[in-house]
Amino acid sequence: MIEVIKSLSKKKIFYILIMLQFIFSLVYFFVIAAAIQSAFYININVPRQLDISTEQLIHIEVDVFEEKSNFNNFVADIESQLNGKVGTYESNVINSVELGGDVGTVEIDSNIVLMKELEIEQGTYFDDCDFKYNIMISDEDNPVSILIGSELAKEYGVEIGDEVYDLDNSQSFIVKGILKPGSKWFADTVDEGSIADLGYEVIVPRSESDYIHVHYYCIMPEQVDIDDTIKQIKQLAEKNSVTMEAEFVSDELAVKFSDSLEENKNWMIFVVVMMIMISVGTASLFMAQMNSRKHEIGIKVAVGYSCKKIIKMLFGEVLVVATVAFSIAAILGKAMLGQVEQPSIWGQGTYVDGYYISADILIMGAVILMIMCVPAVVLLGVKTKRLQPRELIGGNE
Amino acid sequence: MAIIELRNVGKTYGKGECETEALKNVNIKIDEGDFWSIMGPSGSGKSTLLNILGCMDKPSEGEYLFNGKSIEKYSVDELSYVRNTHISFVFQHFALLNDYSVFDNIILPLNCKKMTSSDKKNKAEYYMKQLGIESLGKKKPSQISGGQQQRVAIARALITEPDVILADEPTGALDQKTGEELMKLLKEINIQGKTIIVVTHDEKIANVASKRIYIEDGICHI
Ligand SMILES: Nc1ncnc2c1ncn2[C@@H]1O[C@H](COP(=O)(O)OP(=O)(O)OP(=O)(O)O)[C@@H](O)[C@H]1O
Ligand SMILES: [Mg+2]
Repeated sequence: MIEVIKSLSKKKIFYILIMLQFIFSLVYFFVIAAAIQSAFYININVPRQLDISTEQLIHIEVDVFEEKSNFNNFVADIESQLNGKVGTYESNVINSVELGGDVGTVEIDSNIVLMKELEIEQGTYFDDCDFKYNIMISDEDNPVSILIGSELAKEYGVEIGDEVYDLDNSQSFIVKGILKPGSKWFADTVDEGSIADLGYEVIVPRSESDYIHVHYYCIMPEQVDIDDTIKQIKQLAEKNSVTMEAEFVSDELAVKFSDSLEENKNWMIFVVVMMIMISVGTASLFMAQMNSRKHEIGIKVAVGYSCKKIIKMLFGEVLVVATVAFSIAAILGKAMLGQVEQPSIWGQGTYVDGYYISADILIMGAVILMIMCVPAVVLLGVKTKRLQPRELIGGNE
Repeated sequence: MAIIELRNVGKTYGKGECETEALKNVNIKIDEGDFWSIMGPSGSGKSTLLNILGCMDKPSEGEYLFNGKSIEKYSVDELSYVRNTHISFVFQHFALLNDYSVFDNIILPLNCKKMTSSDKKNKAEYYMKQLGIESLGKKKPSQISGGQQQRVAIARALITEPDVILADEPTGALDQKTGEELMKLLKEINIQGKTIIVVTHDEKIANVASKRIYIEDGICHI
């Protein structure tokens, strides 16, 4: 090892150049791989977060200026004719002294539980009555039930039955349950794929008297005909004069995935070509260096270094350079692509969007680096094996 | 028993039209404590012979015995081991590593042995002192004179405490006076018990040795 480092230190410029080459190509690879991963990520992560198949979930985007009564009729029709359950969720904020100031909330409809159930650590989930409050009369005598994130509860010592008061809307809440640590929700619409951590969030039931939201989700019974269902929903919307767009989440994800892949395909080909070029470049650099090191190697062989030792030394050098380059590239890549968890757009939570350097990407990077080194290493081996010390002695330096 | 024995050794380079017979039917016995010189015109096969004597190369024909054992079946790495423990080389152009300090050059052969760095240091200091180069340890070979460089090379050759020292025109790159001093030094080393074989063009230098091989067109005359 000391030998390797000593030898490395003699060839600073050469190895710095090789290292830069490695770092540059690895960082490049990391960035592209993260982009591709984020395309995959939605397709992996969204189904993982849902309790039902994405082929049972229809995303309905409604015009905000809809008549509330028209929309209610539309929903009622869906429920009676298609046997689908419509619900929504949205992000909000409350300001409460008991929770240390502004806290992000997720307001959820009662039907949403069919799409994704929240697991409770302590206390209980909402019951039907919890959704049937009227915002106007929810005062201290009629507090609204809420669920609270585990980290938030721990930090402020909140327990089941504690009251929380929202200063902004003069509204009282009572803690009905504490979420399991690691509970997640969607930071945006389901098909966006940003998953938020609920550790520092509060879950509020969405009251019946609420206004119309933009995004709704229709949870369908298992195995429905996708095209037919969309057609029927469109007809029902027309019948009730509701302007909306409806699409299965599975379709939305598929489109996103192929778009994202298409977008990154050229880059990926580019990366592969570049990796090959770098690999060839590295190999030829090594070869040139081997020629300039004939003298050194010849002397070492003459004083009794075994072939094994020489090869070990050369490989050791490559290995150290590759490892250092890899570490620097990983650190650079991580710095460039931010943390694994990014602060949520709302509240104090964080979310993960897949655009980061995962362990998988690091492993792939390591494999690619190894592939890049292989031609160089093989060349080194072959050249050393062929090297005859008699070529090097008695002759001129 | 001879330390090195060559029996009917021949060496041929290349194949077909490019074939060169560098050595023909060489029979030599070198005893422990001998001081040999090898002389001959350019291209006669002196270096070839020395490389074979030093296990740097295997003969194409005949038999090579080191301490009575044939090296024919030795692997490359086993030959490296023989070189590292029993044989040392001194070259015309010193063959020092210019990126390494004098000290690191001298301990180079010890890197193949299991030895603590303080042991290496002690040994290096001992031989540097013996050769009068103790003050040069931190310098680079390019910063010292030719005579000093050759002393560094000899220190490197001695540090493994070899049985045989082979020198290929060790004075070739030195001026007359320095060359003679160097030969005196080799003679002293020989008197201390080491077997020495020197290739040279110089009659005067060859005279320092006690035995002589004259080689012409690959044929040895003893
Ligand atoms: N690696 C090799 N491949 C082919 N031929 C070689 C090789 N090494 C030496 N020869 C040939 O073998 C013959 C002997 O060469 P050698 O180097 O032993 O001569 P030398 O006596 O040391 O000469 P010099 O005094 O110039 O150093 C020469 O004809 C040379 O061309
Ligand atoms: Mg020669």
